[in-house]
Amino acid sequence: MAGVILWMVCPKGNATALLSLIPRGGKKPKKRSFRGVSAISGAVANPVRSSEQRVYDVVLKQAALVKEQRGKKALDLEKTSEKTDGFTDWDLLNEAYDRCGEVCAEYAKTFYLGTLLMTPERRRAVWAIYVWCRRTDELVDGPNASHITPRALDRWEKRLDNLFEGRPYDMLDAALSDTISKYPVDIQPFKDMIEGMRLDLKKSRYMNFDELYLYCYYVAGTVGLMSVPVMGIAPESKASVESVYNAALALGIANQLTNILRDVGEDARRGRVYLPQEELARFGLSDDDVFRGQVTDRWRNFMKDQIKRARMFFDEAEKGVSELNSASRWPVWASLLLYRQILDAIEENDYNNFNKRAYVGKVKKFASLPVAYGRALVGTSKFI
Amino acid sequence: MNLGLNDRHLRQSTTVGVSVFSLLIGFEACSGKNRGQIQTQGVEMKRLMKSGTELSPSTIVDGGFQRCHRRTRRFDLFESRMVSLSRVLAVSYTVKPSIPCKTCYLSSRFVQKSKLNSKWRSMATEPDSSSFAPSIDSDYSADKITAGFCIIEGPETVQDFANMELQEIQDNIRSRRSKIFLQMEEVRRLRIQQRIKSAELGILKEEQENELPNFPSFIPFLPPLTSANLKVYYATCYSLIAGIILFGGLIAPTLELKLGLGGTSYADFISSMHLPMQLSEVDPIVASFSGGAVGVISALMVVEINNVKQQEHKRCKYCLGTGYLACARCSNTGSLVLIEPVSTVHGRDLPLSTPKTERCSNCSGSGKVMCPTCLCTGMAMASEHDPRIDPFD
Repeated sequence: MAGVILWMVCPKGNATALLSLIPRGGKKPKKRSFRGVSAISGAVANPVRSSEQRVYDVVLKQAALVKEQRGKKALDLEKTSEKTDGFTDWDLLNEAYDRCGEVCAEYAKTFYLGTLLMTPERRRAVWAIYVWCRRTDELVDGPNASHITPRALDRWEKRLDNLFEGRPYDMLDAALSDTISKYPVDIQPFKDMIEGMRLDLKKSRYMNFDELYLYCYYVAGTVGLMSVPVMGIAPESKASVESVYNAALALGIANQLTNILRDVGEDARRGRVYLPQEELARFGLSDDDVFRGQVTDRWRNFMKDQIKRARMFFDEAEKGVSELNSASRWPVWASLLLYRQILDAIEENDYNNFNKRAYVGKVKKFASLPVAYGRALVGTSKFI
Repeated sequence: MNLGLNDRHLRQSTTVGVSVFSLLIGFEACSGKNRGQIQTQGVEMKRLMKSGTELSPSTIVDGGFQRCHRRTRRFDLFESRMVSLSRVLAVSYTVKPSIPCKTCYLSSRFVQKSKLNSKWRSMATEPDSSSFAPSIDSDYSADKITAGFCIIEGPETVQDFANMELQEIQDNIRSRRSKIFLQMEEVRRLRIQQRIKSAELGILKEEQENELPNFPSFIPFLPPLTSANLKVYYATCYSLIAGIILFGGLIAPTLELKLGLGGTSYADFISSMHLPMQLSEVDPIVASFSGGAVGVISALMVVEINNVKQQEHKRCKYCLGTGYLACARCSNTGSLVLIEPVSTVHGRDLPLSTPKTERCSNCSGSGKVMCPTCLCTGMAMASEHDPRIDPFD
């Protein structure tokens, strides 16, 4: 908890939120090693920096990159579909995007429905990002996970570098490459995600929230950062770019925490515990209690605390959704509200996330849509 | 028996019911029988293997990898397994040279060899090699190139085997196939020992797999079929048919049942529904036939749609079952256009020559690259526990 408070003190300006309800299939444990400029500066300046601080450095870097480009053109430029020159044929590209959509519809139905609320161009871009993330995820968590080697991940990263330079390897990479050419997406979150995959198999326990936060960043926070450029910041927004990215990050973390809390039983059956060991101990619990799968009063108190923290992240994220481009607010609000309801469902199940799946019914899902629409109509109202 | 005009619609509905049921049961029986037959043959094959029947490695290995659908050939392990596991797989994929690669995951090395599409083509069409000297480990230099298996391809990994001569490549392929066979044999023997040892140690084996597992029914909402179940299916169907015939032919006219609402006659019923009066004058045989045909056709459609959905479910969603994704470098064409600067200084009036092309290095000219999700199998799951790659289980 201390880590969270530290983090909340740091960001300046209003937090503005962003999307990414990209459901994470597997949970990938990460170690502390963290790539990028922040790691080097962190090691020199202060040998012990919390994960939140290091992640915030990444956010600042992203925002800085975006601000450079913002000087040149507005961030929410509505890109008309241009004929791409270069390596990809137009029909093939369309087919690639359609394939991405099909994959998204197959594996993440609710998310897919959410993307239908976006503009067509953004929808395709989000699909392409989703498919890349999912393919990366499946490398370590899918049917071929037994064949994965560090060399394979290196090659995958090489493919990522190539596709960012405009040399995609296969058609699905080509879709992402095209997306990158249209929206100012940076490579760092993608690399961080692969970095997370690299350390995947080593870790199945987290000592404290700091470690868990880093993991959540790798798995879900990066996705938030990836999608900010696609969603676009409203031109009339006075909020700082960092705050938008921070809110996106918060939304990603909130989603991942919700996932974790919902799937405690499922993960335990696979031998994994994604709850911080220190906090379990603080409430008088241990791994054995998790594996036993019985709801006791201690468990209820522990879960209440965890849910409260997840809700805090959602609140942080909410502050920023209004800063987004008007066309993107509705889907982001919808996904935020829907995922928030999962926490309510856990509570309704009497905190029994061992055997019962916290499920938001279709009726409730549909009912959230008009609410989201209403909230989306409210644009940026902060003037800082 | 003089059946009145009023009972026409009864007879029509009887016909519909009878035809639908008979068709459905016939379909189920057929597919059940086919699958049972294949399964039996697969089981037989397994028994042959277990009893140690001598099967020459070359015939088995080579035969298994050839895309021949004829069953006159000597029955071999791989072919039986491929056919028995998924008939639709064999039928729905056109005979492409990439198909042999679906068995590639048997040996990890074969995934690399999927680049040799054109070579596979030549292998598939050449006559069955009769003799093969099992000097497997005559060390071809190619072995040294594949240092380790990596499921992610890169532009530089496709360079393997490019320096080999055609004959060398063919020999390599043959040697690897036989290696696969021998290793699968070893796996089988190891498994037998594993079972023996665990039985000795008293470790209980939880699932006793039936030799003939269930087949999911093609008709939605019906329970899965087994051979025993099939008898029940037959009995139910025939009794229903008999019952409906009895009802329509005997009981209804006897009781003078009229199906109109409130005991109205057919003509009254039609007029009360405000339908055109010509419907009440339709000939009973025509009406029965139409009703029956509609019932049959819609039943067939339901079954087909369900079948398609089931098969689609098994497909890899990324490559849509083809096992390959289009190469982005050459946009699926296989060739790259070399762009050379054209000088107009000389000012001759000759038209520009067509640009030269070269083979795309990404995909070695095939225009497609391996789908890393399914490892070229085209199926949704390609794990080690997949029964398709484990013929001894």
